[in-house]
Amino acid sequence: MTGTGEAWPRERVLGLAPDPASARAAEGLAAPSRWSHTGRHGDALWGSCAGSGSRPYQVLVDLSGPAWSCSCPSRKQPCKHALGLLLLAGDGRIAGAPALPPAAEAWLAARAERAGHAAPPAARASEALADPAAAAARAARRAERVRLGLEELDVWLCDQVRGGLAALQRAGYAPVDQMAARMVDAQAPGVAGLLRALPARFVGEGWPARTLEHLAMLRLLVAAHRRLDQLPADLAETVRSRVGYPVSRESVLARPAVRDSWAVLGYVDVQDLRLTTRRVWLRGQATGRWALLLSFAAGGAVLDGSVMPGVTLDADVHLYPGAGQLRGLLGTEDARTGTVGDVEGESVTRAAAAFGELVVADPWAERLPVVLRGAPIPPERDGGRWRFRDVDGAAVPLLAGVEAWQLLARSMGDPVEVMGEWTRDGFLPLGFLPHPLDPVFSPQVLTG
Amino acid sequence: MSDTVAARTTAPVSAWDELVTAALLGTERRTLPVDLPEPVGRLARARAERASALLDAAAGYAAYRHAGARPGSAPEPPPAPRQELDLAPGPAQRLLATLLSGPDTALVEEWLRACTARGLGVGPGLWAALATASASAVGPDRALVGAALGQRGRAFLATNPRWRPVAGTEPRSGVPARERPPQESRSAELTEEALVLVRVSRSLGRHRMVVDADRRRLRRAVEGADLDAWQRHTGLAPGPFLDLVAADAGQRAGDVVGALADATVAQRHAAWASALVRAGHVRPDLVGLVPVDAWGGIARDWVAGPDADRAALLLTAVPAPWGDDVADTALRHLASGRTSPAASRRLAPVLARRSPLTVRRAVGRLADQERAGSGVRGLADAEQVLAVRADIERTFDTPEETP
Repeated sequence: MTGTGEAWPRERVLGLAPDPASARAAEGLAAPSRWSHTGRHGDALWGSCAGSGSRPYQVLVDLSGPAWSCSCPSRKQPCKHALGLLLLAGDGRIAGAPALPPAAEAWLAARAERAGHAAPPAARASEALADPAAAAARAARRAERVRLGLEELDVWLCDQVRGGLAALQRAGYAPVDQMAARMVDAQAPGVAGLLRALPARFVGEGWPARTLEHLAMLRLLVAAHRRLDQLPADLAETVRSRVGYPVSRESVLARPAVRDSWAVLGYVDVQDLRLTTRRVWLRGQATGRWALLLSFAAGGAVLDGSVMPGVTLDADVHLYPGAGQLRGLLGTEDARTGTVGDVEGESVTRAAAAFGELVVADPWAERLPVVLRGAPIPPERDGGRWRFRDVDGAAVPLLAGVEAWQLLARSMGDPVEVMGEWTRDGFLPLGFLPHPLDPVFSPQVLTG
Repeated sequence: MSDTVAARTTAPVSAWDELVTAALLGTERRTLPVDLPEPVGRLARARAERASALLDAAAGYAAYRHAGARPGSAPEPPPAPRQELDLAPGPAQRLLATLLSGPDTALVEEWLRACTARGLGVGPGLWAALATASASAVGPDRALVGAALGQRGRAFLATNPRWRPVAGTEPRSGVPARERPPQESRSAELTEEALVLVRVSRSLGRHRMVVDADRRRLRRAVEGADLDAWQRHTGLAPGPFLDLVAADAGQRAGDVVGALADATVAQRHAAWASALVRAGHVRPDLVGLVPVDAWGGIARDWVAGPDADRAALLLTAVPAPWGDDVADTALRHLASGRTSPAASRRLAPVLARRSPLTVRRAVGRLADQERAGSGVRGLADAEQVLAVRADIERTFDTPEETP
């Protein structure tokens, strides 16, 4: 990230929040009355915030990192005070200063020194590739471990179907977790992740069908991996990706770029046991292509908030290899604007067909980004599922448990453009267009 | 046999359903269906072992189902009314979002009053949060919420059974449902008359004017009044007030008034105080009958007394027309330094929430004293409340940002 010294838009700041409570608390702190001795110089922001302690908290933020420091006792990173200071700066309520105060100067100097000691990632990568023969041997050993692990999984899958899904459901998490751990040992983390998602299928109406489908998809992955050499190159890459073979960042960035004005239309954070995953969806205005930026945070680390809905990037996106692959990395970025243009929503029927095409290319595909035009329909009975109806009358159920009151308030029967994820189990709305992150609205609220 | 069961038993069972049943029971107990459609059937036949065959067939079937899925249909929803209100500026709505995430209902109500006074409405992004807050027992006033949502917002509330009481489609608990008078002018006339009579009723204790004719007139006027205007001007729910002027409840109120006639001033205050508070709540039915000149004394006694919680209750629960008098008096005592630090801590934030401008300035002075080391703490909260109040006014006057 370059040090432009520009204030960040609200959605970008709130995207850094470790949880919704921190975001709300930060908004409460984004009032000048809570702050004193504020200032900004270059990429640095500083201020004193009145808190519950006897002395105000000293807050420092380096926009170029981003990085922050606060004297409050909170373990959250960033804390509500750092977020509040960023919001205040975003509202233009922090005046520029001719020089850094001593505390900020010392902190930034310490950061710069630490950064100097860390070797750049590219240098580390080139060291790793210094011995190609050793790297090839490691890759071969890994492939063999994966193969053995997947053969073991195949036996386990057949055992479950032989004994009946009812028995699998009764046994609960333990045997599934055990097999997932075995897949981690076999260096197939993608398969381990798929297994860990299995127990979530054991509940609700229609659980046997969902469970069988999940097991069958795992079995298909095992079968595809056996024939990896015979598959078309794109599909083979997809299989490798689903199994969890690593793909280096450098190799993705070396792939041809898709150049476009990418409108950032939606995002969602998904919390697993230890890991939070952020999915950010981009749509190319010229090509009409979609791209997915993924970021992960474990153990209280901060998710990447550098690209959030409501902006358009003139940039290169490098897509990962694989059929139906939408995941990409952001390459060179030339310009960024704080708006997204109009996006024409499509019909439910067309979106269903597009998902079908994706499944043909990638049988394990779980979701497809779509912009639908239509209106939400509340359930007719308590506990029923919401639906999204297009202007032609075709409807798709929303994911079980999603209550779309916010969406209904915007629509009230009138058609609206909604960005969301089309999944095997229903539609997950993420935001309205053209304001995917309305200041008084967020996808978390929508889907919570 | 019921229709449902009959329908279920006669409905065709798909090959997919049969696969699921076989998997559920286990292939050791159940054979695979023989009539699987192609190419799924070919996948199943390629394996001799039943479990493998079932999984392969299920994988093919699942891909087939998702690749060729056709969406269902839904009937067109009924049209909603248009929104008649312009929306409050963005900064003001963001402030409301912040206030709704906090515990202070009074500040939310203050925001709503500022909004409706300008003839503006709340944007749909906040309707659900506002409705949820208002549906709770301690949430913001429902009439205010309904006014700020406009007719389209109220139609939205009616779509959710939990919010229907807020939308006014169901009467609020304890308030009898009433038809509004057909003619607006007559309603306004009766409202005005009712308000005059309330002022008369506030003097009942002082002048012993409990006259049946006035009671009947008041009842008639209140019943015909514009209930929103009535509540806005008096801070009283009309239901309990009507109960009060009815014979039984009125008699009890009359007893209180009568007992005060010959008492000393201090005794009057004490009597009113004990009558006003029951089980930790201020009785709204008696608030309207406390003589105007008694409020100051009651506040002084309470604030200077040992029970700060009771004083805070008084400051919180007494409706606006009388509350400002109480707040003024309480603040003077607080500023005089005669209250204990503990009482100051308890009362200052409450005062800040409901006090008019002059009181706000005085609370600000108290905060200065705190910073100067006077030992009075807890005023940071009061300052925060005052800052939010100032923000409410400022954000409504801030023009909408252009993107």
